[in-house]
Amino acid sequence: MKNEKLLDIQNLSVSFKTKRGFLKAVNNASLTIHENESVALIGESGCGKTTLSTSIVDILPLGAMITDGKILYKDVDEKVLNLLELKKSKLRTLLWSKIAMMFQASQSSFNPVKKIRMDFIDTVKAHKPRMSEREIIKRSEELLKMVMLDANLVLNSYPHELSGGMKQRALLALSLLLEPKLIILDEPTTALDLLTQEKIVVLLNELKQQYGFSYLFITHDLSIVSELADVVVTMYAGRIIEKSPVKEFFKNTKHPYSLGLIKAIPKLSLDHTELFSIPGSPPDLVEDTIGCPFAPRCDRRLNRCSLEMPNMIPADNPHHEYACWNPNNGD
Amino acid sequence: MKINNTVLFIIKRLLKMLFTIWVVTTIIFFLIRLMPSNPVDRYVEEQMVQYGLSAEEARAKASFLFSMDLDKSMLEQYITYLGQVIRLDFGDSLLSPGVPVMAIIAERLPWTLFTVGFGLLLSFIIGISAGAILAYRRDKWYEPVVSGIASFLSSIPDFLIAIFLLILFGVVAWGGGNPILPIELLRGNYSMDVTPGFNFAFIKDAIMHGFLPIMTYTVSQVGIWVLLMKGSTISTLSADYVTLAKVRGIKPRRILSAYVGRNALLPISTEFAMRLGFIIGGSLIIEQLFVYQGIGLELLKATSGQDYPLMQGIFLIMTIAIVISSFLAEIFYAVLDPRIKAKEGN
Repeated sequence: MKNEKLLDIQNLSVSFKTKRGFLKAVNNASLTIHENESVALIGESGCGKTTLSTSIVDILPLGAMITDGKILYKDVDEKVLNLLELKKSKLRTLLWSKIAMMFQASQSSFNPVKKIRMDFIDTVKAHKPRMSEREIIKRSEELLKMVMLDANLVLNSYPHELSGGMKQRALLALSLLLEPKLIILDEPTTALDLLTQEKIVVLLNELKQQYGFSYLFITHDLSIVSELADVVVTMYAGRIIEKSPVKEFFKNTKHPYSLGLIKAIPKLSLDHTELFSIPGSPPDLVEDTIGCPFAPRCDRRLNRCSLEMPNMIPADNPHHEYACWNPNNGD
Repeated sequence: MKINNTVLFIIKRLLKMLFTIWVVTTIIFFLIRLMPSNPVDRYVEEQMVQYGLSAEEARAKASFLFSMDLDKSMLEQYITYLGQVIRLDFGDSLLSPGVPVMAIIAERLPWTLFTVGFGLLLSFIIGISAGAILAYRRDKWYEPVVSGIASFLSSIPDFLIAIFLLILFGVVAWGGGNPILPIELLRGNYSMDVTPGFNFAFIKDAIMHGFLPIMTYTVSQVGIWVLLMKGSTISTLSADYVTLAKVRGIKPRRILSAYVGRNALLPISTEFAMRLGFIIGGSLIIEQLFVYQGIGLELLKATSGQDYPLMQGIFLIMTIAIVISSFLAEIFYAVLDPRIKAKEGN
């Protein structure tokens, strides 16, 4: 059974105003997240992953603007809302109750001068003003126990009294507080040790089963992608260049850049001289590029590549799409 | 455990404060007593040369005036002096014999505290609000204009602002009529015909008399608050916890008060107490310009009349005022920011 579309990003473009001109951080990106689906967004640093995800929750930094596109969200009553045209006050009621987000390195996500309990209470009060503090604390304690924290201790601590991993888990509990439909996770496991990482990944999978959440998560760690994602989306230079179901992605990678990312995973059996890396670095996004932005670094480059930007085309599997003139076909 | 930490913190700060006051007291004592051509020796000399007193008589007179027994050893004198300081007894004024120094200070200090405190508070409230607004509207055209005016104001010495205000309000006859304020009637702290006390006529009169000094402190201080608050708010606005509060759908007003405001005010609150001390010290010129009978004007009189006991008393009181206000600032800071106490505990 195919789940319904929950969030549909259509042709989104985001530009930053810089001294040298407009920097196109996200360029004509389209992305669909279905209900109870987990989408992984991968790519090198500076490819627009964070910009894409922050534009969903309206926290783009000063100087950034959305030049084109729509972000459609299907609300509970089947109404489809364009988040970009929504009134601020209406959007505020959707945020966190429907779409929650966990930042990259969430070390300073809690108010430094208040105890953690205040962040939990504030959050619920903003959406359900009638809920009593006792109920809120009770619910928070349940969630904190679920992420394997000592609830009483965490709620009565200041952020500086908790370790990085504890804060990250507390934030995860906070993001579950209003049972949102979609949780955006920007590198959810980067600050954690391997054992805690594994626990978090298992927990995220369980929560997805239990509550039917959808995830959009950004990561550099492809092993987490294989464990957690249903769909993998590769971004390069502000563009989405490959979208694929996760099994198909690892088995039948089409875009040379995605393939490069997979090859760059260190393997224990290799010694470090054999470690693969993609030569060069991502292009300057201020300059207009004709053709595929990856062409200068690509080992499968054709003449056509530097002249014309390829569109997204479906592979044999219709859910698998890529933008490349000379895709990898296992040769 | 938590309470212990707080108590420990306060006791530590209290001891530090007492230590600072003790050091300053000691320095003042030795400055007056030990320096070549120190006030005591000079006074003795003067009495001998000008009035032909014998050395014995002159020293006896000096001991009486400075309330020091010059025949005792330096250490004994020092201990007696410390005892007097603890009792806040600085002896009598030289210029108005028979009047204790403390009585003069008690008479003058409240007026300086009133004008300086009022002015500083006013500038703080205006500056903090303006700074926070500018930080929110930093992409608007008027942001650089207001910031420019603020940094201009904060770089002019306060006595120039005082002179300017004096001319603006008290000298220039706007449109051929009278100046806005009858400054010649506004000398002193209050008019002769009102009775000091808690009545409307007196309070209104006191505010009228203090208006120009208060304005001077306000205008000279407001710029620095605008700039400090703007900088502090901008850095707070980009903090993760503010962005996340927005994503959590918390109402903008709540974010401003509980997330941005409180964190942005932290570094500035200490500055407030420091400024209070500095301005009390700097009130000397302002009070002279407006002939305002505060501690600054008194210090000026004491200096020109070589009234050493009075100078000594004023210096010490000013020091104590500064040290106490920075003590209060530290306590206030610790209340606002739990991290301070935690650092202390480790």
